[in-house]
Amino acid sequence: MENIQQILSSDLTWIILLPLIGSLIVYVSPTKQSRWLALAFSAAVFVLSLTVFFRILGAGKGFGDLQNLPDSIHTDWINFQAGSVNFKIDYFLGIDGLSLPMVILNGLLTMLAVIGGWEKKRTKEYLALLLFLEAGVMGVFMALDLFLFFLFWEVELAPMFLLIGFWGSDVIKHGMPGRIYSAWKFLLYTFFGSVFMLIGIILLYLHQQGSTATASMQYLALPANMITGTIQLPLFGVTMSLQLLTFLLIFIAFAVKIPMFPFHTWLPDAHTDAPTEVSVILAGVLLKMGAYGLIRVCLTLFPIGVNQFAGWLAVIAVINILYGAAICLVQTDMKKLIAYSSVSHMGIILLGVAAAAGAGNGIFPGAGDEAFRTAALTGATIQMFSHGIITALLFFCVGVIYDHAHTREIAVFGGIAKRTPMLATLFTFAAMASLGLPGLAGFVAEYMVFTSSFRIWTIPTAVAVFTMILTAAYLLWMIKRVFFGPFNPRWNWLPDANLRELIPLVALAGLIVFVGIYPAPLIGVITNSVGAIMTNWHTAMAVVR
Amino acid sequence: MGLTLNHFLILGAVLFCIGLYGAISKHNAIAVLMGIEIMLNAVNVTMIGFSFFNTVKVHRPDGFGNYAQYLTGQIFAIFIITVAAAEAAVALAMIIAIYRKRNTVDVGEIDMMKW
Amino acid sequence: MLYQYSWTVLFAPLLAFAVIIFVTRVWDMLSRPRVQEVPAHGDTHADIHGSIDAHHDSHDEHIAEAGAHSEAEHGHLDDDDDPKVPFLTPGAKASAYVALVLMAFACIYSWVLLINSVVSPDPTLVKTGYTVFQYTWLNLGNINYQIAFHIDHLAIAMMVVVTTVTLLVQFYSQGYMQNSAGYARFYSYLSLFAFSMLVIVFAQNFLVIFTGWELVGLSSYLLIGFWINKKAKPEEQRPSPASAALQAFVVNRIGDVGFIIGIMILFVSTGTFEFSKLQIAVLGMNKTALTVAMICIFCGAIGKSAQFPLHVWLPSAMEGPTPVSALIHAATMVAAGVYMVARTFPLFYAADPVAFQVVGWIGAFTAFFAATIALVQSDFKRVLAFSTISQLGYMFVGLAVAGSEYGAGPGMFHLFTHAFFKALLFLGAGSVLFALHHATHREVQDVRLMGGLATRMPITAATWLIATLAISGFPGFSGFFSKETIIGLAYDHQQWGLYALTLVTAGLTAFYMLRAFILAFGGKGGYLGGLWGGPYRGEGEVHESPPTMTIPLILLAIPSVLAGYWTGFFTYLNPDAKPLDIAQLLSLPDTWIGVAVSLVGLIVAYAIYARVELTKIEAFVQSRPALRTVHRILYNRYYIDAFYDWLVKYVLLNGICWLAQAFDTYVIDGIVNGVASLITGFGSGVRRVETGQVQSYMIGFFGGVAVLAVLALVLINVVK
Repeated sequence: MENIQQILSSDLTWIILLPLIGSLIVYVSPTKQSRWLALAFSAAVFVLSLTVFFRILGAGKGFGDLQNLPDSIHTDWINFQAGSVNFKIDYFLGIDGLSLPMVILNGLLTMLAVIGGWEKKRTKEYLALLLFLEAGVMGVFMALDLFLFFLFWEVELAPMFLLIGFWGSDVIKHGMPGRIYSAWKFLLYTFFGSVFMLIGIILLYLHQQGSTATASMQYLALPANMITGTIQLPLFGVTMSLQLLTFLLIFIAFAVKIPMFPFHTWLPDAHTDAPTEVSVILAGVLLKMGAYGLIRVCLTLFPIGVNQFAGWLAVIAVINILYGAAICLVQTDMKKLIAYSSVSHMGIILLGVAAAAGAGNGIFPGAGDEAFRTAALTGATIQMFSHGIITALLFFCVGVIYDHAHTREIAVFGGIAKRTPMLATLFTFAAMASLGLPGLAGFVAEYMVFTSSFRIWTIPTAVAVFTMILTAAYLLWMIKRVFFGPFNPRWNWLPDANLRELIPLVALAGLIVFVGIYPAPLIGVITNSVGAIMTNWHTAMAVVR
Repeated sequence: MGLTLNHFLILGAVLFCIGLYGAISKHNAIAVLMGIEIMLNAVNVTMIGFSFFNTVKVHRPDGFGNYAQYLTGQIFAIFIITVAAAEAAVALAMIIAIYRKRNTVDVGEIDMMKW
Repeated sequence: MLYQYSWTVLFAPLLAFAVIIFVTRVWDMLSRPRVQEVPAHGDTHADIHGSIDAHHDSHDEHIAEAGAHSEAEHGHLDDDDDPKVPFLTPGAKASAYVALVLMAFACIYSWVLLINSVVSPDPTLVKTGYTVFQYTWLNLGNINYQIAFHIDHLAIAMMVVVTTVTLLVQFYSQGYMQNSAGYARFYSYLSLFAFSMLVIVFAQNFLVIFTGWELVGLSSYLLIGFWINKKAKPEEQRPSPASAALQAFVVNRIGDVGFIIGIMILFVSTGTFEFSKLQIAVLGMNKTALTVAMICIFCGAIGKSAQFPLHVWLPSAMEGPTPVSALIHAATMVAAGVYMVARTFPLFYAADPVAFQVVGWIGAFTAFFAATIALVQSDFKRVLAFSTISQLGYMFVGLAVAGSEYGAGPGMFHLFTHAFFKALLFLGAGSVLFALHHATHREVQDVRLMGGLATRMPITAATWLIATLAISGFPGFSGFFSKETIIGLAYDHQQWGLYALTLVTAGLTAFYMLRAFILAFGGKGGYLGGLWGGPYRGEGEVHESPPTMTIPLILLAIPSVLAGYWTGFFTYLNPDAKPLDIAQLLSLPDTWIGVAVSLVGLIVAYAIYARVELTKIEAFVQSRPALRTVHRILYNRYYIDAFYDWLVKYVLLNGICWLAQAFDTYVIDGIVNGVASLITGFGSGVRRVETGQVQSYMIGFFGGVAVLAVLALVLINVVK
């Protein structure tokens, strides 16, 4: 009972609980009120996350890191002895500089998604599931116990599966409606990764001796408690470090989510078939779960494992970046194009992490790598946030077109800026942000990642920079074919975005400009966490040497 | 030589096989049901046989019988009879219902639950 | 004090942009009378949905119809090409005034800065400059990401050029863009451009200059594509503005990749972006790395300043409104590459001489190459575009051959003078196009359809002639001083290759500029032996443009002549440099060689175009196979555009990208779907066991039990 009181008195619990309650209430209330209720609940969650932000800001002690959480709740949840094994799962939620931007982003995007999904069919079920999804994702970003993290990781799947499966598009794919195909593909892919993650977590847990075993990230992150030693794989006969093995097992789940080549093909399908708001959430926050996990779990708990894998990670990052961009150039569907552009942009995060943890190829010898590593990781973290808002804006824009025109084929449009000037402006703005125009959010992240990764992974970064050309080409070419050039009179009736549709667009556009021009507040939030991760990494590496 | 456990067991086995053959080979649902009843009763026979011959030595002061039987088998048999009665009732009801709906009691044609 | 507040110059245009976008343009849009009633959504929605297939057909028909239409009324402007409104709303006018007032402020401020710094030099300003505004993104001790703006003499000189030309162009646009539906939008873009360009000017480090670099790319993109629905004109080899804008942005990005790789090499070697710190830090750098870095950085300038092989975007960029061509694609933005090299001059100088060799040879080759193309172009604006490319090549030669005794002076000097006369040329061309548009109600840009305009548009013609003489390097005009300095320096430093190329180009420049002037304004039978007036080859009655357009022409004509007399320019930029000595310049023989070559060019052009009729010249060229072939190659710009189109279409899109897409669909997704269908296939095979017949289940069950029983017996016996 005490326990429950303690749990309920934490605002972090309410960040998860509020959308959950909201989802139930929305589901049982009449359709008309359910919209406003959903909006109220999502706004409340957003405000609550902002309150947490301002409280930490007001305390004036910085935004902390994993070992110095500015806001957390840690109490027993499951704790029993079975034979010699002690099963212990804690209710451990915490917020630091790494997770706070993600939590706020999730709150914001869900709120905007509720506004965007105002006129969907079967509105209240839709909104209820969106809120449920929000709760799951919030849990992922705040859980600091690996098992709890896994739980939320799986919870988020169910609403997503239903949202794609029910409200998706009916275009036939592989002999079934696209929504069914994509929902299953999404689910199976993620489960495929989750299985390995669970094995990894259990391996990590059982490897600890005695009754003190715990899955708390805070504990496991300390270099003294890190998993060490080597293992001979039974079937392959390969000897590898245990840390690398655990890292790889857990990383598969994140790689699927990010999505990393060659696990990326679920994303274009899921995006093309998902309704607009779901795409927004999917690209805006769900992909970030993978990136967040990579930094929060992999880089923090297995610095040496990541270090051993970093060379491959850098190469895969470059493939992600260029391959995704190249495919974008031949897409005929706007949403698919943006989906592949996400693959490309998420590669930048991978590159940043590879640079943060990698040994590098030593073209620029000499001391001073530390600062470059930290800058690369900071850039990757900013990319998580900025890609979230930029892609969300892009998907909202496509959604507005799709809602009116009922098609997303690039080729059937032409010159419609004449009829939809407001939308054309915002879409062009979003494309500019996405291609990394200075002054907008995407640039800050890309510039920091590229310039500092170059020190560590010189050749991969130099190759990856060529994405600048491809990104500009595919985005602006799409914009040109849809909005500019000779007007196609077939669209003479097409209305411009209305006020309700403009709210999310304008809100995100404002945020993009703010982060792009003055990223210092965002960097101030994450800098301690990133610094702590890098310090931790250096300590761990020193222990190995 | 009198009645031994083996007689019971052989009777049970033979009855069971007869019942099984009937249940598998008959097309009429009622015949199948009868086969099942025979199988159940074959089990009853076996149970009772075991119960009768599985004894334990006891010392009664009045000297009336020095062996006592385990009654579990017999109780089980009564249970099975009861359950079989209930089962027969339900099964007959279902057969009638199916007959009304599909105009047949041929189990070969009743395959609504295939793949 | 005066210097510390110079950030107001930077932010004035940004303020104008914000005010126009959020206030006056909104006012304009709201107060605009609804000219065209767009059918309501509900009415046509259902009907359009019912017949999507039918619409497909009708769309094709429309294309065919549009083709026929444009053939019938060749070149006629329809509403989509240049949307007009019957009158400008107060909101639209206010937009222009906001932009003009704030730009005037910036312009006056920068002139004050210039005069003040010339009259009373401030040693701090000369040596290090003042940082006027800064804030930090990320500070990690030995590296930091900082936004910082600073001014020094170089910045002030450039600032004066930018603000002055922008102000005049904005003033001019009141006439040129009159009744345009996008009037307010145009002024907001112009203000955005001015801000972006000033970011480059004020940049204190590579981060900021790269920011400005990309932002001018954005403004250029927006302004080239200003007429969003305008169609391509394949018969005149003119792309649609939307395509041209896309091409400009993407080609610039190709250069930017080089630029950012260069920045990265410098950054990871020295840990700083700041120009002043880099000057010292690069001395300790690996020389090869530094040289590679500087050549990479020059790639950025190749893109922005349209040097070979990334020059293709600039001629296409002429699809934008003419004031834009004057401001962005002639005077300021394209010169940003030159400014950047001037800004990083110490870094280039610290690198191996190979770096400057690359700069010089690219510049000289481009100058020559673009001049040869300009010889035969018939599109009025395209001649000017190639002349811009050519002149930018001169500037790079100037930077490359200057050496330490002159520093960035000669290159910047040519930039300074060129900005005025090239802006004048473009605005004059705009004035001509405007007048012809009013006379013929068509868009006429072909010089073969002009002729004899001088008597009809005397102010435009006179100012244009001044600019022509200035760009040709006619003694006494500003171009003479800046260009002869560069050619002279190439001679002095025994760069014979560069010298030969620049010298020949001077002659070609004089030839094609006078050719364009005579074809447009003169013609056989006019006054002054054909130079002034003559037969008009077009239709309709042409009149001089309104004063809003002619006043900027007159104002620009003044510096086109006088800018060359600022002999202190080199010492202004770099106190240690040798000043420009006009007496010495006039006394050197190589100067007069250059003048002679230019005069030959002028005389030949005069002899051919003012004395012979155009049709005869064309007939002559067409009748000689060799000349015809050369003409065709030059007219098609050495087929480089066609080659790039081929490269993009067949190598990139239908090659690499197609392969990547196929790999994704058939290999990666193929494996995934293959595994999935393997499992479903197995399942659908196995499910046949479920017959639904209770008796078959029974057989299975009891059979299974029997098998197990036998197995158990066997096992028990075996174990025993």
